[in-house]
Amino acid sequence: MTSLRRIGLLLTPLIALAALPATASAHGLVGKADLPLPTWLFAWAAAVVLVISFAALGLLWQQPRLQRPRERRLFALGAWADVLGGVVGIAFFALLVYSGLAGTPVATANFAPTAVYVAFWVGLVIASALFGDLFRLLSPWRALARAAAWVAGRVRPAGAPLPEPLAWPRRLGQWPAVVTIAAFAWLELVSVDRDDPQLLALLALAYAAVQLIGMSVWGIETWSRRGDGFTVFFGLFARVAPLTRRAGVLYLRRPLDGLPSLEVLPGTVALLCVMIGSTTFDGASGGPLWTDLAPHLQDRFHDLGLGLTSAGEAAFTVGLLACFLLVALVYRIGIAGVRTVDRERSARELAGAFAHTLVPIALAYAVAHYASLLIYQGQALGFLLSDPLGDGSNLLGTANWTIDYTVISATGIWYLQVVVIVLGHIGALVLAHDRALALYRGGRAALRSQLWMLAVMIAFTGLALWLISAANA
Amino acid sequence: MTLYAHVGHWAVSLIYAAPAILLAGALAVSTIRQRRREAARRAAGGERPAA
Repeated sequence: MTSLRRIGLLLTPLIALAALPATASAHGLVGKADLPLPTWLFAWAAAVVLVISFAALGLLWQQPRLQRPRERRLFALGAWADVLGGVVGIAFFALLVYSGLAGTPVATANFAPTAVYVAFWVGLVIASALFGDLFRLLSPWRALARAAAWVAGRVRPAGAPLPEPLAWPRRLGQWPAVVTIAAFAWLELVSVDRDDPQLLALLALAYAAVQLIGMSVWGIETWSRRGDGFTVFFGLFARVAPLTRRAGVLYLRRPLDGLPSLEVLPGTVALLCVMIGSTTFDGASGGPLWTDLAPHLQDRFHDLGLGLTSAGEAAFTVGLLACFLLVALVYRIGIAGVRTVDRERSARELAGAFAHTLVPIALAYAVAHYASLLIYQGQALGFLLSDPLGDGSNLLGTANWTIDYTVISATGIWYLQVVVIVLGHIGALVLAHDRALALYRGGRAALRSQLWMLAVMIAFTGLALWLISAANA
Repeated sequence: MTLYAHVGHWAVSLIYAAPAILLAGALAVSTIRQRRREAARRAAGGERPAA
């Protein structure tokens, strides 16, 4: 039997499954996007694009080019930028907490939920990927801690040094950030109280208090880079950006240039898996597999004695954890494949060496998944800023604004998502290719290791397109 | 049981994973064949395995 016939036999049942009428999988629900092709064909086309990109990289990109960043100095962006950013960040935080505590409990009429889930969680991701590490400037707790340190330095008696911060335990790495982002994902995707403005305000206050304590114990910069989950989270996306600020100077660099120098600590790979896994679960929880499975899981937890709400949350917690593990498993399989051609390095070393390639994937997942939320619900910030408490005030004269749902069609959103997903994975492929060239100096090992990473990228592309197709179904 | 009962709902989704499964499968088969060839060559020639 020829290879082509074998492949044909393998594909036949899959194609037959895909050719089933849509009612078999979606019970007659009409998709929101009007597409000329079945959605799975987009996944296959994306895989073909990745294979072509892989071949082009092999032909045209034969020396490592990204391992040393190339930066061009733009202009000084001194301490005033920190002060201004800090003031803006503190003002935003104060408005969020005040509106959460004093405003209406109606989530859509209160500034806090939209500020947290749209402006902060989605908007700042995209802004970081475009303009660099904005959250470092805007972080209210970092600004408060720096202001407190500045005051302490001024008022301390002459010659009396400030106490030295404790050394950060190496083994702790970025695990506090993993816990933070996983906990936030749980709040957003599992908790039934996710939209409660008062709860969000209290959690924001509690988080800020923990950050201030952490900074006072381990130092502002050390805690920010290791312990503050959101600074670490947005900082990862900022490495994609063509702008970076260092020592009070703004530099221009190539997009993705900040990623190869990513410091991989204990927990960094787990953090990236949590980032991709949480978006995966958000998409999958609207799809047929989860909507079939979740009620049964909920029943099991209910049978164990949990109330219906708690049982539902327990079921969703299981789903969220399963998605974290699924993403980790796909990456681990890819690394195991790379290891078949590189026995000198451990799986842990290889996972760290290619960890930065997961950042553009995480970005593509986030942008593709939340694009419609940002485009539509982002407009709500216009009237919520004018009436943050939902009490009928009109501070900026924009309280009567409404959301324009015609700004982009569902089909337009679909194509935007596909383009973002493909570009993100091509970016990841470029990074993996460049790292393989640096590690293996070309040759057969480099080629085979990249083939395994290509399989990882195609797997994540297929998963991403499956998720958005489930949301569009 | 639940998964099997609703297999028609989600099995179609496997089509999205097909390209990755095919590539990973081909790489796995290729790796196994290569190892067998190397083992056969070592057995025939008494060579030491490559580092």
